[in-house]
Amino acid sequence: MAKTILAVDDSASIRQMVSFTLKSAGYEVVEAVDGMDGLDKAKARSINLVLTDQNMPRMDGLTLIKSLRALPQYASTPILMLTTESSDAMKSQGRAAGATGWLVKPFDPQKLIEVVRKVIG
Amino acid sequence: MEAMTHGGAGAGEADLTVSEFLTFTLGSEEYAIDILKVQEIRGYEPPTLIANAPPFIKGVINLRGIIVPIVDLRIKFKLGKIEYTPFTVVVILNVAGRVIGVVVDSVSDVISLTPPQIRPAPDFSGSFDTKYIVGLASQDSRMMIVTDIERLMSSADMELIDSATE
Amino acid sequence: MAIDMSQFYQVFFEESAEHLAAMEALLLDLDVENPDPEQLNAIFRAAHSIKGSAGTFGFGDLADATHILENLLDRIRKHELGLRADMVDAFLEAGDLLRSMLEAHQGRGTVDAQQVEAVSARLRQLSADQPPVEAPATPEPPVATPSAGSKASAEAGGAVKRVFDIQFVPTEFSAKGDGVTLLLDELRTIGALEIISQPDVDAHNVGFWQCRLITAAALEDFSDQVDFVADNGAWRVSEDKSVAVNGAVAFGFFEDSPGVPDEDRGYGFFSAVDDRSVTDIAAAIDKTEDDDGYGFFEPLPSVPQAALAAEPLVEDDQEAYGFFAPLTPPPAVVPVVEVAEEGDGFGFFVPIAPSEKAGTVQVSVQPPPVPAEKPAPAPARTARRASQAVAAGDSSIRVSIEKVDQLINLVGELVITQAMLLQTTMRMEDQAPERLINGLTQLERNTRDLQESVMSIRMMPISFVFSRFPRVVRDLSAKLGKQVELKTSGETTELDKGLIERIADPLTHLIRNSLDHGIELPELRVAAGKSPVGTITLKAYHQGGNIVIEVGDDGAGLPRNKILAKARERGLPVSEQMTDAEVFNLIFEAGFSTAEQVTDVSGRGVGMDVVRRNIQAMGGRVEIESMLGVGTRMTVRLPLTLAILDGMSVAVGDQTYILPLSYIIESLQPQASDIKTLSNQARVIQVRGEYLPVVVLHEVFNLKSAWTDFTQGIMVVIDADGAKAALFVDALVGQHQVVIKSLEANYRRVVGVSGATIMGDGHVALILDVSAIAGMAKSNMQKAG
Repeated sequence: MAKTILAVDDSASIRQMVSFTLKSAGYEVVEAVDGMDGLDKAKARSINLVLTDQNMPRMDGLTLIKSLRALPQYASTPILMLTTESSDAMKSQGRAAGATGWLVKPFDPQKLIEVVRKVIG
Repeated sequence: MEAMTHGGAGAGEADLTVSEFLTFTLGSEEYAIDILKVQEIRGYEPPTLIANAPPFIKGVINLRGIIVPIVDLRIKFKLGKIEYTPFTVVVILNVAGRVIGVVVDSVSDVISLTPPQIRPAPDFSGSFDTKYIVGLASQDSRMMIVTDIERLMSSADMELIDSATE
Repeated sequence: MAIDMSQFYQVFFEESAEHLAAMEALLLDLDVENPDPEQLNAIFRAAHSIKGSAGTFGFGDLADATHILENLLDRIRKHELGLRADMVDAFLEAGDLLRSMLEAHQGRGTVDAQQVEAVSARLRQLSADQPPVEAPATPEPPVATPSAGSKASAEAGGAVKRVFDIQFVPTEFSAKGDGVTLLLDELRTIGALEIISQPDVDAHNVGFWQCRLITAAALEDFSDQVDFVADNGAWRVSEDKSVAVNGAVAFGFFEDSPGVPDEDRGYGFFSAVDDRSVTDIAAAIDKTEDDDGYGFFEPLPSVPQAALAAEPLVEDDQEAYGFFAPLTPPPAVVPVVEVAEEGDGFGFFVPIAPSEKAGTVQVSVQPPPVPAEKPAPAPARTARRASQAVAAGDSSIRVSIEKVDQLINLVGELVITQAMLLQTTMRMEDQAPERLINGLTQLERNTRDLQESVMSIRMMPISFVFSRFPRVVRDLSAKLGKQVELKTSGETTELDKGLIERIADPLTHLIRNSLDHGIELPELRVAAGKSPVGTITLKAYHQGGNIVIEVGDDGAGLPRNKILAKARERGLPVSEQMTDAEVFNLIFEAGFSTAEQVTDVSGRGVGMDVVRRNIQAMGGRVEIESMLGVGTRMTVRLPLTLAILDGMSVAVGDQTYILPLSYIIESLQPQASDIKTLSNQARVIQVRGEYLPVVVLHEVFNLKSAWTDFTQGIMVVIDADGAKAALFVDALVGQHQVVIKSLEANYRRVVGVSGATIMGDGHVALILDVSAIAGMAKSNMQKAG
């Protein structure tokens, strides 16, 4: 049973890249275009790992992380922030929101697979 | 059936390369054209006229949603009696990236020829310009004019293409 | 597994172009005095998105240029800098530059490196309290600066930075003395140093150290110092070349100029909460805290066990990520605020507002309990209702146009087949079972609906075109010294994508024309009792099966006499008796220009004749209305799509032709007395007091008409671009929506025919090119003169 990853990013090209990369690595991928969409999709199905961008229209990554953590089924699901903001402030906020970790953009596909494997095998 | 290669054979094998030709009659003459240019053969149906087109361009028909011009080669080359009967045949060709129908008297058969069987044509043969003639071939006492149908159809003579090259 | 990134480029190009367009629209809409924070955010986000994707797909030049832009935008949205009009100009210019860079990457045109530098420099200069020279040309990597004074990392992007991983175990002597501290200080003078892991605080620096140094220096510049503190060569320095590839140097934050409060300056947890500069980080760096590209927080859910066990994660040290390992024996130090926020599990801290000084607090590791009914904290930026166009669609897919067109073609075939079936059934008359007829009627409705919804896939709002005009007007009015306000309405009106692409140029030309010839200079307007600011109105709406686009101005209007004089000069057949419409239409004649002097705007190069030709080629037409001193309005009518046409089928002899309905004004059965023959056999018919040239279709097409005199047939009055004519046909057959097929795919262009369609009985019917036929009539009339 392939693990399902929710990839939330408002950039279609990044989404496509992440999705393609993870599918190539044998994961199922659900795409979402922003936090709101991500939240809806997370509620609609069972997700094993969430990768979310930070800066998005409608609902940003931090809000998504907080909202997910507020749902019992996502209380302990790994959530990684994809962010170009490698600042401590951002990390700190992410950490406070309940993120499991962070991955700084830009990253290459190999790196992504490596990180995801570390988290959910 | 032997595998056919077109132009892929080495010089030594070139003479043995068999190509297949569709033969049809126009008036009293028999023509042979490369079967690979032939898409299908249909009966004749009255086409939609195109105003002010030359008389040998009969018009256009609907071929499964594609608009296909119909050329009557008998008119073009002033051959035989021009009548349209249930037996009148339209050969649908795929030439120069286009689909074109040509009206002929009848389609005879498909024959195989090797290059040596096609002899250079003398200059006066055939009803049309020798530049479209590849050569002459004979089989069982039949004489066929092997024609470069693609070149003929895309020529300015046929008035089918806007900027036809000679 | 190697992933070929180039497969994502096309999507990246498209989305970046969309972001740029959105950014431009927002910038033009921005109120400089009082910018809307939402708009600023959206502009920032556009730049931010481009930067992120550009970096990911390896377009470093784009990423760098966007980064500078993003940085400035970020400071503006955070109110660190005030917005000024010249900034908006610079942003627009930057947008143009980025667009050309994008195009260059797609193999269209080239980018002038000097221009890139100029734009970048200008943006940097706009960072008010930052002298232009000192700004780094490339974004700085995230830097661990243990003391605020260490600015080694601010070397302005000159030399190539290299990344070294340094691992060592210091001798006890070096560790307990100040050897290690000195080494670290020394390394900080040559580059940016990050301490990735260090021995426990209790261990007094004895144990395994791991650092990363980003420096322009070479290994031999510092290896001796490392050797000095490490016991018997217990050290290793390796250059990490992968980091650059991973973009460790291609992302990060500007070390902003001194004096700018910057929460990104300090490294580590301690400054994260407020903007204090960090002083004593080294003493308390979270042991695995790094800025490596990724990491895991802990004690939070779901840190992988493997990661927790690894301590420290030597295997990861070359990677751009890290884990927060369990904060075992030495209690970790975390900011209070963080604890307070994730405090579901702890509960003994009162939440502290971020503005307060953060102390430090010890946290013992325990599995966090599942939060119970915890309301999601309201974020600072609440999710807004998606009333804004800025928000991405909630769910959409990108499909190649080829696929859509194939679908449209198939549906077209289906419509034809359905019509054939229906016709065949109708011919059976009484023999046709009622259920069959009902079924086919139902099928007809279904295919129509299907066709309509398939066609709508290709439809796009005209805002895709309109959005470029504010910029056109802005730039051109400045150039001409005119004051112009552009008003648009109906931006959501949809038309086919193919038309969208083709209408942009003609519309641009009409707008430029209005600006150049229509709107007067401010002083002239004032003298004429008008507001100095002219208005250009751009309007789109649906009317019947057409989209109508109006370009209006409140300028000087078209000077009838000047146009007539000009036309005579050009040798065009004109007379004083011509109606205004006819006179105005002269400006669409080839080579006609009324510009008093040749400007670089219009009056040279492409003229209005090209505009009209382009519009007609799309199956559309353009009309002019004008009043002297009041203004001019150009109205462009286009079909909604190039694939379907509302047509009237007419019989001529034994043939059927299709007339596009949009050209037909009326049809009538003529009286013999209405028709006159002129000297050269040209005939005219009087319709409502107007004499129109008659085009006898069966004569034009060399067909045999069913009739011997005009009174038996029908005159169809058409209007093509102001040229009216009456077409004589045998009979009207009916109205249909027809699927347009190309005649030229397998045949050549035919004068008077614009395409073909397939009728219900499977026969081909030609679609008449009404403009060309009206043109024939006109030239006949002129010969008759």
